[in-house]
Amino acid sequence: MIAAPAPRWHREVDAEPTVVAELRHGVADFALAHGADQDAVNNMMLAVSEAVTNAIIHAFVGRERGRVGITAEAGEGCVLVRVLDDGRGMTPHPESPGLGLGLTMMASMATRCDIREGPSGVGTEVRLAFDAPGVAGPAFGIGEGDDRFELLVEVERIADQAGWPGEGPDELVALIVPRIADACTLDIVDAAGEPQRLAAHYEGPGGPELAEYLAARRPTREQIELTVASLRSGRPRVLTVDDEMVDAISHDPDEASWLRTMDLAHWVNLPLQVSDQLLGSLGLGLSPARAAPEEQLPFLQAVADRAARGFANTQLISELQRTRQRFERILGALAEAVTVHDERGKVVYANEAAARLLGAASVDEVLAAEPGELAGRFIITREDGSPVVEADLPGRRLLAGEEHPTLLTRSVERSSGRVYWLLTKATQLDDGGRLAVNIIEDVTEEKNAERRQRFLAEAGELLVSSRDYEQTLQHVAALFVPSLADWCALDLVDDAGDLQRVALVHGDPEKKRRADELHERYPPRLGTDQGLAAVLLDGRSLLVPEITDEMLAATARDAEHERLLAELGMRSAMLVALTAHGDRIGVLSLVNSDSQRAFDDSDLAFAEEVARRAALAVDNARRLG
Amino acid sequence: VTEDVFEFATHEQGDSAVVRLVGELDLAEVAPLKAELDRLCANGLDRLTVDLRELDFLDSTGLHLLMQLRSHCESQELPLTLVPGPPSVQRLFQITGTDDHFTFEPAP
Repeated sequence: MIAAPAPRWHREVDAEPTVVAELRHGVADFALAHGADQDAVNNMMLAVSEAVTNAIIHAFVGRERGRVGITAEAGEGCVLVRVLDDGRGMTPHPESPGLGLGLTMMASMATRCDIREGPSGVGTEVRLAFDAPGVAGPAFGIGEGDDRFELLVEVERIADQAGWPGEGPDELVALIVPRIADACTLDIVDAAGEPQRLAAHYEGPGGPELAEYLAARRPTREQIELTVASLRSGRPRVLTVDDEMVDAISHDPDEASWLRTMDLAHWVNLPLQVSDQLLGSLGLGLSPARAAPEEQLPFLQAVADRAARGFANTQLISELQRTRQRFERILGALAEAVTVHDERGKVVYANEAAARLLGAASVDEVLAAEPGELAGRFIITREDGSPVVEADLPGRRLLAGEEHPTLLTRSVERSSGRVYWLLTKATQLDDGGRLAVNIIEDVTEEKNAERRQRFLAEAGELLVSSRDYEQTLQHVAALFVPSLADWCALDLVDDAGDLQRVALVHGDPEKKRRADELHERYPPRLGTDQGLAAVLLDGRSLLVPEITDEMLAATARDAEHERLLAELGMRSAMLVALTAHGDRIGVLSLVNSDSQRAFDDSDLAFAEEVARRAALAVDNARRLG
Repeated sequence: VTEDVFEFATHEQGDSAVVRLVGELDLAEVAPLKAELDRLCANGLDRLTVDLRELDFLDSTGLHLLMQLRSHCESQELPLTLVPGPPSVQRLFQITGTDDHFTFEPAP
């Protein structure tokens, strides 16, 4: 058995002169396969050659070459051809005296020739219908005075446009009534396999009221079963509308008499299917005045086949939307921050975790931000303190075609001083465009724990290694800077009961000099309730996450003191008492300035642990000394 | 197969030339033929023949070229003769009413 040739042939190609022959022969082969004779094929070849030539020469004047699409379709005794370009339309052009000849040729070769603006006003669409005895297919009605061909073209246009499931279904039923039916219903098959009404139209006895009723009508169980059964067969089905049938599909006698006022003779159920997948059904109600439906079934099914394409688009789109929503829900629920950005660094997707990490109030704020705007809210460095600029981030390196290893960064939020340790991995999203997906893992806790552990191990060794505790304390202070604080001071109470500075370590030598000067000129006054004295007095630690100008002014003893304090640029501070066996023997001071880091409770707990160990070591050394 | 769908061959003898067109002439093939016809017209011939017998396909692009050639030959008083092609090609001249503009003479 020889497989039947496909009822439709479609090609879309670049609008180059060489495609004229390719498309001409494509249509010829299609028509020959469907049994067209050589005369008809010669007509088609000539007309298609003209239409494609026109598309190439005239449609792309003064602009880049576009695309040309062609569709051939077999009908009963005919072949339909559509040539579509995305150019500027078939404007007559001074350099093209051949155009007149070409149009003459098309009109002479085709039984129907129609040239109009392409869908959505783009380009030109040439429709050609050829008589082709011997070709089998639906009756398209291409003869003079037969408007069925026009109707098919209109249905196709509605189905192909983007109005699904928006206005498309309503436009479709309004087109069908009253041209080929008195009532029309459009149902979509839902997930449970049952038809759901999408649109309906009716013109006849009972008027608009009945039309509205039809659009909102919920079919009875029996009717659903009847419809589903007929749709399952995959073939159109004609029902005679009589009392028995109306009673069978009505919810109650009132509805039955209501439906009877429509005075329909036949109801045709047409399956809407694409590639054997049942998408829905098109129902047509015909009054007794219309021709018997059996005669027009091939044509009616041709209408339904075109409408099905609109459905296919809708279902495809909604499927894509569902997938996307599902995907976004999964990403949204991830603890890791995920962002997707383009080559400019513009963020096109971010989940909740990413918004939190980027210090944004919402995902929308992240999406609205300009490239670099969010990164600018942070001071980003590597572990060794060297600065990281945006071009160093893995996602940007990836899209620049560079190596993009996972990057560990310390990000300090400028506004809050919060410190994040972030591990950023980037992968490319192959989505047509150039997009990078970043998975940003917040490793702050792990990183802090690791660093503190290392610190305690190193400090512990120092504290037991020497009896020169003043030198030891200087080493311990040095351990804090710069990884845990920008500067660290240790003051001990001497035998006379005065505070002596044992260590001051600062990452910036110039600022160390100023801090020394400050200490010399304004030594801490014991017996007050401020700063070091207060901590020494009651032993309670002092945590100042953010030092304000007002605080400095309140602390300063005079204008010069305030100036010196301001010059140090202190951002955050912790003061912790060194206590051994109930005696407060000194104070550990930790300050952040340039890094903009703010100390938090976990930093304070850690500082207290270090202070406890240091105090014991000092106490032991003193006793033994 | 759309490769080599069209070829032409020129046979020059004294002051006359015969250009034989073979295959399918359309937009993609018309430029080299036009260049050849321009060259021949500039050669001071006293007779030019275009042989369409082996031409399988002709559309308005090729017809337009022949019309241009005819005007050019007329202005140069150069006699132009076409050797008729197969019915599908000849039909084109009839549909467009251009058959009266050309002198068709079967091959000798």
